[in-house]
Amino acid sequence: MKNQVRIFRAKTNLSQEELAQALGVSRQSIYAIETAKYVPSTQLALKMASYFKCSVEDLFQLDEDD
Amino acid sequence: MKNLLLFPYTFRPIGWVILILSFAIGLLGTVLQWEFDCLDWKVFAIHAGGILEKDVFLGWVDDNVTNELLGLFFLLGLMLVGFSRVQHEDEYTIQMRYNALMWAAWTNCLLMVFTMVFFYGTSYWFCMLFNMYSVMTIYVLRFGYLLHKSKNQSL
Repeated sequence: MKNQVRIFRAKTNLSQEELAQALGVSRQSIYAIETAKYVPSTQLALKMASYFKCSVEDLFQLDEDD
Repeated sequence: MKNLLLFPYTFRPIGWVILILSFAIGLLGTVLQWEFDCLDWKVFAIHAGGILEKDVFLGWVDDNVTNELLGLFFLLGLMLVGFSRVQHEDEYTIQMRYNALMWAAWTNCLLMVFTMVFFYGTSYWFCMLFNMYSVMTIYVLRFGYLLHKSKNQSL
């Protein structure tokens, strides 16, 4: 699963810590999501999309091997 | 994650103290073969007995409970450390907990097979005794390692 979380975060000029606090998760979770080590739950993906005011598909896309 | 049965975060350091103390005393006790005389108690047993001992069903037996107490405290320490919330408990931490549990279950199965194949007689029972604690011990170690790794990687 590919994701654009880092790009969206950079656009809004937020640190990992700030985004983590806004979403109620740890900074480690944001790092793991950005580096594609962890695929978040639907709930967290929807929260992220709502926070960045975009769709979940804008943030997350299926890879060829998914 | 609100639906996972976890102790509060403050229980975690308490667990470490209990765990380290019971492990250290247990290790010393095993090496030096000593027991506390004040712990010679009459205890209730569902079944007690051995090859040269009288069988007791649902009765009271005399026993030194040093090993039992140390084992209970060690398990309590493992439970408090393993099942207490971390500072930022979230869904990623839950994923790490699942990973650690899978590791623990796999390793325990492999250890049991290894013990069954390569240990016989009293050595077999001695190894099985240690295997009783292997699931929780490996879970705590693996979860601690994953937490440490994730903290270091995101710096």
